[in-house]
Amino acid sequence: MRDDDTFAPSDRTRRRVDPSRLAEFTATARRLQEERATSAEIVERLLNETPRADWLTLADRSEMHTNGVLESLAQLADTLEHDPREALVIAELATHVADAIPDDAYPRVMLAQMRAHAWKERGRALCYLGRHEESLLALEAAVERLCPHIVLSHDLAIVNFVRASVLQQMRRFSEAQALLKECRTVFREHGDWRRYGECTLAMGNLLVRRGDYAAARGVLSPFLRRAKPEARAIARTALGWCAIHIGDAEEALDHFTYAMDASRQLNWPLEVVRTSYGVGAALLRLNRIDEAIATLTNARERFLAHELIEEAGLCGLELVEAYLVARRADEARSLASRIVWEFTNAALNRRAISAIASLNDAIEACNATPETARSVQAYVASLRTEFDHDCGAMIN
Amino acid sequence: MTTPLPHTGFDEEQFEAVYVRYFDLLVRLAIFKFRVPDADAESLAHDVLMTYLRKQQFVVDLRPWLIGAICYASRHYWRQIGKSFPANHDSDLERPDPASVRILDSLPDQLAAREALECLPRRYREILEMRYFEGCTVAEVANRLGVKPRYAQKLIGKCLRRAELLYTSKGKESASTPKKGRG
Repeated sequence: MRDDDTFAPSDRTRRRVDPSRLAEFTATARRLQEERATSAEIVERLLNETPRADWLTLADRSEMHTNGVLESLAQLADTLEHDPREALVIAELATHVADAIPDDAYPRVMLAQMRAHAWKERGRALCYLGRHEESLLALEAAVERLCPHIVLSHDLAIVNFVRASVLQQMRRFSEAQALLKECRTVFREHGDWRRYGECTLAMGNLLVRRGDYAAARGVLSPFLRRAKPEARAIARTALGWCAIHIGDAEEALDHFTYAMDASRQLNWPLEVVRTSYGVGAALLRLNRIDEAIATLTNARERFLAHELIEEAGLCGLELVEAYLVARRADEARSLASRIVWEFTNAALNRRAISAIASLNDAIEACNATPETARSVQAYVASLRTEFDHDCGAMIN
Repeated sequence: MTTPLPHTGFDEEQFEAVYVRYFDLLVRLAIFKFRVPDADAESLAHDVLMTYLRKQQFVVDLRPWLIGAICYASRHYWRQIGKSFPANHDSDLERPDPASVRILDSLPDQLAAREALECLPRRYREILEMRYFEGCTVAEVANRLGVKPRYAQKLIGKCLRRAELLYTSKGKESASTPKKGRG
């Protein structure tokens, strides 16, 4: 039985609502509605009539000190994804505005929400610019504003979800995983299924990156049934990699093929490339070598066109394996040396470069087998998560 | 450059209706599920409803959202004052029987509850005293009675129903007894 059924009030025992509290609630609701109706115009006017270099001074203007203005600024920053620098200036303005609002201007919990979300947006904007350390500091500022208020668990989870994403980009996977686990629970218990889904996907992808494929499968498989098309496409890509590593190439091919079609329909060109790389990897494991070579070659070229050297390299190592299976050693060697050059040029991990260079030597000496290529590929892939292992050791 | 924020489509009466509809439920959850004192439970419920206002456009299903929020708030309440609330421990057992929560709540105050207890046989009275005056958990009541917790929970419900029955019939009796001095 659900809690709310258990506690369903009967008319006889219904608690009386305090009229002053009810009045505060409705007055605040009305005020927010009114602010929302006018804030976009205020923001637009003030930004237009103020030189960009002086935007931060707008934080002192009293007409900016409303929740509506903060929501408008957040919305504006959101639309500036293509211009992360401007998005950051807007987000910085929002934090200045939020912190300048007098403490008694709104109910305390609401003011904490307003300030925390402004800092969260600033953290996000910094993250888009790759300024991860500063982003974490901004997100900690958001957490600080929420912590004194015990009714803000949902807001805290929203901020922590962004923190998890930043930590993941910094390859601090253990911390990210712990936060995601916590956020998932909070979203589920609030019936916030949209964020719960996003969190589940993030968790699944994180587990894949950490090489915990069985756990990732456990998280993502049940999620497929109720996922929306976008989320399902992402989940099936991740499940494809799980299946590859668990050794079920048929299942992997099914997941990747589905995800590739879906990505095409969703107009996600980069995801189409990533999933076609997955298709190639599955075909290779199914011993459909010619198809695998064609698919992987195509995927690698498109990764390089997007300047995604690391992914192109990993894809290329699958291709080296395919060449070795097909006994096309010359092509395998030439490709391996090409990948070494690309990695060196892009100043990628030195250990990865050494591993690929030794594969190259082995092919030249006719000592390389397809298994050698696969272990080098697995080693290079594992280096992507190594930073976290080092960090974990320091923390523990 | 900026687009107007979407209007939530709620008018003042609808906000008022939301508050009136959910305030009671949230307070009850805090009190009965987490044993938050009445006055604090009301403040928590009010704050939870306040936080909803800012998210109104994004909360798809209000009821579970509010219930989640009050549950988290109640747990944090105890954490904040330094008492750990056993979140899942015996939660089923501690949850009042749906049939009896109404009865317990209908007893107007402690005095009336005591009066109701007076009407009960000793065994019934002891059980309810343990649970509601000594503050024992269902598991503790079970332990003291030497029975299983599930059975103790059933016994408590039975005692409450009996108390209500006797109390109500006593009320009817006294109402029907002619008062002295009247003709």
